[in-house]
Amino acid sequence: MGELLKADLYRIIKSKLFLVALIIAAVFPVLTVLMYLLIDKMLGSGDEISSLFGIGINARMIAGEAFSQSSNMGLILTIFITILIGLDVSDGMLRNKIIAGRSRQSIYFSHLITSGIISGAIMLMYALIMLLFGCLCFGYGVKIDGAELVRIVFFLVTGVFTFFFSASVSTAFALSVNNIAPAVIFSVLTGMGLSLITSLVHTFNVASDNKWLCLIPTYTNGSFLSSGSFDTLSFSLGILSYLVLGALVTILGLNVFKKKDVK
Amino acid sequence: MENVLDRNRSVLRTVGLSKKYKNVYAVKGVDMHIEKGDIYGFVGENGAGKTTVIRLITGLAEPSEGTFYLFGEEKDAAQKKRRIAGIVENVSLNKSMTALENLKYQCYICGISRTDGELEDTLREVGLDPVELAGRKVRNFSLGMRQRLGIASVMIQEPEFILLDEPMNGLDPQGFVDVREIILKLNRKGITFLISSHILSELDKICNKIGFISGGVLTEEILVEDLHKKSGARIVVKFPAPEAAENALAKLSAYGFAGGGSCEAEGDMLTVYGSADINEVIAAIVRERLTITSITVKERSVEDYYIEKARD
Repeated sequence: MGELLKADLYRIIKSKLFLVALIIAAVFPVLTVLMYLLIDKMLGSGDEISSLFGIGINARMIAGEAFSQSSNMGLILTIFITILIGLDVSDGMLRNKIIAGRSRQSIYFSHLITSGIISGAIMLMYALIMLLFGCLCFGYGVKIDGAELVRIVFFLVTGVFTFFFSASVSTAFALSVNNIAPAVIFSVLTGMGLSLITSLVHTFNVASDNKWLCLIPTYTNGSFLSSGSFDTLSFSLGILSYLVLGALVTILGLNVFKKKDVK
Repeated sequence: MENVLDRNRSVLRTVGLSKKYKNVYAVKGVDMHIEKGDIYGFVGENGAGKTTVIRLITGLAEPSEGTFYLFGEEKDAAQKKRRIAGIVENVSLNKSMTALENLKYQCYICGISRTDGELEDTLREVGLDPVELAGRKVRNFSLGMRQRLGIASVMIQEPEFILLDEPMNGLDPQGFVDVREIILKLNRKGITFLISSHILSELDKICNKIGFISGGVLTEEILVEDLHKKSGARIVVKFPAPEAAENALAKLSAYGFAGGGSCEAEGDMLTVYGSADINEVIAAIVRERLTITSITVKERSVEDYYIEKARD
C-alpha cells in the first residue's frame, strides 16, 4: 500500500494537471477577492453592499463560500481529481498495477487517499489564500478572539471533509467507469445534486428548526462562518454525514471495482 | 492439486479456463500447460480468445469457470507474489512522463528499487538511447519506441514469467530482430514466455511450443519440434510459366504420393504436401517429361501448419 501511495503521488506530482490545479487554487481566490474589491469600489461601501449581499463584504463572508462543492473551485477540483484518476485507467497504468500483483483493494484505497490528500490540500490552500487576501483588502469582519479562531479551524476542517467526500465520489466513478468523460459527468452531477438539495433546504428555510438536515452533505459547508450561527451539534452532524456517506460510496465503488474487468 | 514434481517445472497450468460474456463464451475449457523455460506461442484468428486468456492469467478479468495454477499455486495466491509481468493489448505507459520517469513509476508500482544507471542500461538494452530521450515525453514517441519502452518496463521487474500480447506490433524490421534477441536472451536466463502474435514466422523462430486457439477453444498444443516432424516437409516445384504448373498439377495429382500428399498450384509454383519423398516426386516429373526450373524441400513452418489447420 505504501509503495502504491508513493507511485500515485509520484504520478500526480509529475502531472501538468496538478500544476494547473495549484495555479488555479492560488489565482482564483485572489481574483475572487479582487472582484469583490471592484464591486465595493463601484457601488461604494455601506447600505447598498449590505442589501446586495445580506451582510457587509469582509474576509469572513467571502471565505464562507469557499468550500461549497458547487462553487467554481469545487467543480474544477472535482473534474480535476476525476480526470487524474481516470487517466490512470485510460493510460493502462491500472492494468500494470494489477499485473504487478497489487490487490484491487489496495489500488482503490491508494487512489482514494491520494485524491483525498490532494483535494484537501488544494482546498485548504485556496481557502487560506482567500482568507488572508480578503483580510488584507477588507479586514476579517469581526474581532478574532479564541472562539472565532475555533470557528475558523472548524470551518477549515469542514471544508477538508467536504473534499474528502468529494474525492471518494470521484474515486468511485473514475475506477468503476472505463471512460473519463462519463466519470467526470457523474462526479460533477453528484456534487451539483447535493448542492441543489442544500439550496432547496435554505430556500424553504426548513433547516433552522431541524438540525438533522445537517446530515445532508454540503449543508454545513462553511455556512456557519458567514452566517454567524454555529453550534457543535451541526458541526458534528456535518462531519458524521461526510464520514458515513463517504464510507458508503467507498464500499459501493470498491465492490464494483473488484468485480470489474479492467480494460 | 498438482503433484510436487509438476510444481517444480510447471509455470502455468490452466484447468477448464472459461470466460463468458452475457452467455457467450469468449474462452471455453482451456487446458494449457507451460513449463519453466518455455517460449509458448499463442496462435489464433482475431477474436479467437488469445487476449482473453492472457487477461484472465494476469488478473485483469475473472474466469467464469475453471481455474489456473501459477508456479504450482492456485491463482489468487500466485498473483500476489509478483512473479509475472506482461504487456496486454497495448503497452501501458504514462504519456506525460519521460521514458526514465515511466520506468521509475513502474518501479514504485512493483515496490522495487533501481538506480537511474540501471534504468538507463535497461533502456539501452531495448535499443532506446536515454541521452537522446532525456526530457522527451512518451506522447511524442513512435509506436515502435513505446513498444520497446513497454518491454523495458517489463524487464526491470525481473519476473520469472512474461506474457506478451502482440509484442511485434508497430515494430520495424530492425525492431523485430531486436525484440526477438531480447526474448531469446531473457529466455537463456531462465525466463518463461507466453507470446501471442499474428506474425507466425517470428513465433517459428523463437517458440518451442505452440498453442492453437480457435473460437475460444484450445484446439492443439504442440512442440514446434514435433510440429515439424508431424507434418513432414512440403516439396515446392517451380515451373517456367503458370500454364506449365497447371499442366503439371493435372498430371501429378494422379500420382498417389506417400502420406496422401496433395498437390496445389499457385502461379508458376506447384506444392506437394504430405510426407512425399523428393525422389518420388522427381521420378514422377521425369516420367511425365515436365520441364522445371527448381525443386526444393521446405520444412513445414508454424504458418503452414496453421493455414492447413484453418483450411481443415
